[in-house]
Amino acid sequence: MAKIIEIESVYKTYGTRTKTDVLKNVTLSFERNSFSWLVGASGSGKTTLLNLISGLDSVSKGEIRINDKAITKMKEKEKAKFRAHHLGFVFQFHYLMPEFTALENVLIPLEIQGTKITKKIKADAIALMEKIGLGHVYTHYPKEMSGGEQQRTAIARAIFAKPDVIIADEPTGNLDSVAAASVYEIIRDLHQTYGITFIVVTHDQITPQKNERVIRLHDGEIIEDKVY
Amino acid sequence: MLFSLKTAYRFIKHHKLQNLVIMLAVIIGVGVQFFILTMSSVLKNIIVDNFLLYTSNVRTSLVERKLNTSEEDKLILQIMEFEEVDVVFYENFLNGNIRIAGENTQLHPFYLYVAEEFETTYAYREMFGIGIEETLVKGRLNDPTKMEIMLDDEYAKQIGADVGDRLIFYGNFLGESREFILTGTYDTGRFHYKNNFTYLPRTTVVNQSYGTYFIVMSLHDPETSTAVVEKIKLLLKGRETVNDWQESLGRIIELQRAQRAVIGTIEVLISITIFIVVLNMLNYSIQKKYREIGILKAMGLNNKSMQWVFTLQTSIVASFATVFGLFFGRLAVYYYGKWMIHPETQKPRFIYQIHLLDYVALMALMMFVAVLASFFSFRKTNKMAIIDLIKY
Repeated sequence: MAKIIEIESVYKTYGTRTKTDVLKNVTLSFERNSFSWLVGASGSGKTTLLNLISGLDSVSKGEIRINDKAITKMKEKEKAKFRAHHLGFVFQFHYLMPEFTALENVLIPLEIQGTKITKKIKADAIALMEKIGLGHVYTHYPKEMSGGEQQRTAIARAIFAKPDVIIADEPTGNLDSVAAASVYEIIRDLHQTYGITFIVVTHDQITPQKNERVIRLHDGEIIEDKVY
Repeated sequence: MLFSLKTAYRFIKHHKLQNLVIMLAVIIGVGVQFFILTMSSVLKNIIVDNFLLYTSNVRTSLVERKLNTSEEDKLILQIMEFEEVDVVFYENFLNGNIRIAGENTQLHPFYLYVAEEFETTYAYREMFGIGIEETLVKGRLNDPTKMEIMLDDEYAKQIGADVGDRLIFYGNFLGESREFILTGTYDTGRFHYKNNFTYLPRTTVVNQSYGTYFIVMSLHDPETSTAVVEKIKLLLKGRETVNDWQESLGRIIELQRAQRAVIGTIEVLISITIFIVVLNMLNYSIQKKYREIGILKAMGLNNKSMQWVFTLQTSIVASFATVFGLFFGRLAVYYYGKWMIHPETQKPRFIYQIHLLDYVALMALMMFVAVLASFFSFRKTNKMAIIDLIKY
């Protein structure tokens, strides 16, 4: 299967006087339409790796390519454009824009891309939201929604623009177990439906399903990489 | 851009209090600026009125007599066509000496201004800027056609002349003396001129070929004198000299400059204050939105578009606030003007002219200040990593 993300000998070091290596010589690749879990204890470097893949942070050494384009060599403006067209984000906290309704939040990535929001696009967004159980709240503002609804809106926002890769950083970290299970179910379902590459960082004990990959990090190094 | 505008609008809609404080700062600033601007106009009027409004502002010296009479007449007709010009006339300036009739009296330097046959009050006003009726201290107004003259009270005392005295003027160019009756004295008070001159109508001077000739004029607005001078110079093609009050009355220019400097300083200080208030409010507002800025940037909104959000937000708020500020400023000026009425004459004392350009300039200045504040407020976020903004 074609590779979508290639990480070559990546290091990430923080600090100037006292240097801390958060990632050490990480070499990794992700196949198109794959589903991967990044797991590990706190401070193992999983969120850092995610931030480097998405271009939100810069590598100390090494190279990351997405769709054969080296994100590590892009200028800030190029990175922004690249993220707008190729990446989707789900954060630990929903991080929705409080000034926009749930539906408007879902449409933001398309608006950033410069796509004109037509009635059809809106209808498609509503259909997606209905699919993940948000049909009754799409006109609500984030403060009028529950934590689970907010996080599902964030997932809808990440997926609706149909990016190449969705990066989810502990998407259930702020939810109770029932809501968390529901979110994972939705993520897996959307992956099946849309065939988008998913990289999900989690603290939770997970039970990988068939074809799901688990990458375990410890002290900035990959200690396990297994496809189920 | 459309998304930036939409986001800016939402930021305004959902953070009313913050934007209201920014609005209030701009409203107060614009209102005060407008009031100060009006004060500036009033001060300018006071300066110009006191020194200039009723006297000649532009003077063409026909010293070299290079123009013949028909050319002079033509020139006057052409000048009369200028929309800036209120009154234009010939003036002949004769210098000589005067003494009180009688034995053993001293000669004193004296000047005669010979012009058209004006009414006394009009002549003094147009030629010397003196409201002769208001400043009369002794005697009565003269009838120039009957060889009657008036003198400055201070000058009359200096030469020992009193109302009713006969005064004899000697000018070597006249070829003979002239005798006048002193009918009254006036006191211009604040001007402190050494007023050793008087006005005579042209008909009383037989030989008009002597002395220094001028074409003098007063303008509707003395500030337009430079433009008028240039126009006359074009007509004269360098054959005679043309001066305006700005060259001869440096003191007024100094006063006007001082007035402009004071008003300008106040305006700048107010602008800086508004800048600081808006900057602080925006800093606070943007700091509260670090996470949202980070999320939008993570989703691919570039720095320029993000900057536009805050620039548009500030521009929208500032433009409304500027309109309100101008309205309230205008209202304050209106009521202040109504209150500033002369108790006896009931005439307004707070006279000002605010032009459309002043409104536009004030609006543009405030918009610039607000937009500049938004630029500086947002600049910090450009230097922060997206991940730091999100985690803030």
